[in-house]
Amino acid sequence: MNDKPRRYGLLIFFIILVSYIGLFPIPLGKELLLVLQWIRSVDDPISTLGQSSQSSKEKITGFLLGKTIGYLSETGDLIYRESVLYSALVTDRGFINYSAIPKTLVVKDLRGNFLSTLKIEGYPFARKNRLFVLLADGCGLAEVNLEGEILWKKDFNQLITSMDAGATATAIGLWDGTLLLLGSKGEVVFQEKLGQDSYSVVYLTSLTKDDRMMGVVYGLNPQRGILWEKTPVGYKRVRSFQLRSNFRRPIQGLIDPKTERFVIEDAEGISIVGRAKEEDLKVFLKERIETITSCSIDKLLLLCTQQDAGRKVMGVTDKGKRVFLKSLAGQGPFWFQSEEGSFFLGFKKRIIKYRVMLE
Amino acid sequence: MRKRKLFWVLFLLCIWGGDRIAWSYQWPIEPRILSVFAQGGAEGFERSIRVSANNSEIKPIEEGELIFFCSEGSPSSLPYPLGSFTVLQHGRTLRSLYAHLELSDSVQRMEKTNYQKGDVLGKTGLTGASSIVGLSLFTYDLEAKQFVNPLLLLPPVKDTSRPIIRNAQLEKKDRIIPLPTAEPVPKGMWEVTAEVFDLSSAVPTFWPMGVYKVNLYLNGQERFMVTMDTLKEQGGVTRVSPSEGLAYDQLYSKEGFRMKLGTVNLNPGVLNLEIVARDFAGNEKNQLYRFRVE
Repeated sequence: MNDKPRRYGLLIFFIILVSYIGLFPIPLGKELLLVLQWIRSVDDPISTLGQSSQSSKEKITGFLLGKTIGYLSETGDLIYRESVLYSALVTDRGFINYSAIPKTLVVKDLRGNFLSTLKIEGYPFARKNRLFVLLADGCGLAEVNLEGEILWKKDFNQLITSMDAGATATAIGLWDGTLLLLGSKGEVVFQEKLGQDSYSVVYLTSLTKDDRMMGVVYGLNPQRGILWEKTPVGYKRVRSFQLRSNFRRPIQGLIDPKTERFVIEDAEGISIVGRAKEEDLKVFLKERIETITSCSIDKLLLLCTQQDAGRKVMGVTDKGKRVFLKSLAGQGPFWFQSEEGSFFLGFKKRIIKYRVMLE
Repeated sequence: MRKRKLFWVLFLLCIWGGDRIAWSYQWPIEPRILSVFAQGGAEGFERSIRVSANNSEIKPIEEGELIFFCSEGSPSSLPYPLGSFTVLQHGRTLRSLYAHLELSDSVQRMEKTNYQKGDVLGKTGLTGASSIVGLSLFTYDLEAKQFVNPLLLLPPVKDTSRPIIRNAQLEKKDRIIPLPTAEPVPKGMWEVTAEVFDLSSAVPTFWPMGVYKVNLYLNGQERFMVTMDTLKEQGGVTRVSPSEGLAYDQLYSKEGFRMKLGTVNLNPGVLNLEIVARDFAGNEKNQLYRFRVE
C-alpha cells in the first residue's frame, strides 16, 4: 500500500524525462561515412570505354599495387596496365617504370606511349606533383619533369635522410643534422644545423604546399622537432618541441594544410603539434603507421597502419577522435591514395574506391 | 718449465693484443673488392668501396650505435638506390654505412641500438641498384664533413697484381696524339690522359676498378698527383682531397677509366713523360714515354 505514491512518482519522472528529450533533443552532429564507390581487380580486362573517356576531362588515377602499375577512370574502368620492372613512379600525367640499375629513365603517358627519356642514374619519386630523382648513392638530388628535362641537380656529399617539396621550395634533411631549403633552381635559400651532438640525423622533413610552413624531426635521446613559418624576412621558428619517440629510421609525418599542425608518427601513435602547446594532441595507436594523409573533409587525417594481422585505415579528426576503421586481414601488396573527398584502397589484387561523406 | 709456459702465454697475448691495437677496425665481410673509393661512378665519384660476397653476415667495422636504417620499399623512406642499409656512429666523429643488405631482424625491429664487433647487421644482398651480391661500405668523418676512403681504416688486403696504364695520349682541342709516338710532337700545352685502373681479383672476369694514387712526371719533375683519401664538398662541388681538390670532371673523362693527368707545357727537345699508378696494397706500375718535341 505504501509503495503506490513512490510508483506514481517514478512514472511521472519518466514521463517528464521522455517529454523533455522529445521537446529538446540533443543535437547528434554530422557523422562521417565511408560510401563504397566501386571495386575493381587489377587483372580486369582493359576497358575500351575507359579509352574513349580518356579524351574527356575525366579524372584519371594512377596506381602502383605490388608488381602492377596502371590507370583507372573515375568510374573504375582499367585504362592501362603494365608489370613493374623493379619499381615505378606513377603520376596523373605519366609514369616511369624502371629497373634496379637504370641508366636512363623512360617516361610514358597514361596509355603506355613513349613521352621522353631522362639521362640520369637514380630512382625517381614525386612530392606534391613535383618529380625528383634521388641519385645513386643517396647524396644527390635532381628535379626533373615528364618532358625529360633536368631542372636542377645538386650533390650534397652527405646522405639525404628526408625531404619534402612545396610549390617551388624543396626542404632537405641530411645525416649530419643539417636542414636545407632550396629555391626553384636548387639554390640554398635557408640553412640550419639542428643539434650539436653526433646523433643529429634529420628523420622527417615536411613542407606545406604553399611553402609557408616547414617542420622537421631530428636527433636522438630525445628526438626533437621544430616548426617554422615563412615571413617576409625569411623562415622564423614558431615552435620547438620534444617527442617521446626514438626512431632511427625515416619517420612518417606531414603538416596538415587545414589546421597547420605538424602530424608526426610517434612511438605511441601520432603526435599532433600546433603552434602553441595547448593545441597539441596525442592519438594512441598500437600499430605501426604506414601512411598519413590529410583529407579535404572536416579537417580529417587518414592513417594507414600495419601490424602482423593486417592493415587498418582510420580517420582521425582535428580533435584527435578516431571516426571510422577499415580492416584488411593478412599481408599482401598495398596501395593507398587520398584525393578530394575520397580515397583509394588497393590490397592484394583489388582496388576499392570510397567516398568520405559528412551526413 | 713454468717459465717456458709463461713465456708462451705472454707471447700469444702479445700477438693477440698487438693485432687488436694495430687494427681497431675490422672488415665487415671477407674483402673481395669490386670497386674502390673515388673511382669514376654513375653520377660522380664513388663514395664507397664495393665488396662481393654471397650470403655473408655483415658485421660492424667497429662497435657503434645504430643511428639510421632504411628498408627497401618502406613507404616512409625515399627510394634509395642503396637498397636496405644501416648507419652506425662510432664515437663522436666516424660514421659507417652498409648498403645493399638484407637487414637483420634486430635492426628492423630495433631490438638493440648498440652494435658490437661480433654483432650481425644483416646479410649481403641485392637490394637497390646492385648487380652483384655484396656490400657497399661508406665511412664518413662527421667533424671534417668528408667521406673517408675505408681502405685507410681497415686492415690491409692481400693483392699482388699491379695497376694497368694504357692508351695514354696527349690531347689538345683539335688534336690527339697517342703515346708512345715516333713522330715529333708540336711544342705547347698538352693535356695528358690515360686509362689507369686496377683489376679486381674478386671475380674471374675482366673487372677494372680504380687505383689509389697516380703521379705524372715530366723529365723527372712531378707535374700531377692525385691520392684518393677523402671526398669533400668545396664550393658546392665534391672534390677529391687532399690532392689539389679535383672535381670529378677535372679528373675523369666520360670514357671508362680514362683519367685526366694534368696539362703540361712541352718545350722542344727529347722528353721523358712518366705515369706512375699505385693501388692501395702498394703495387706500383710505371709507364715511361720518350718522344721528341719540335
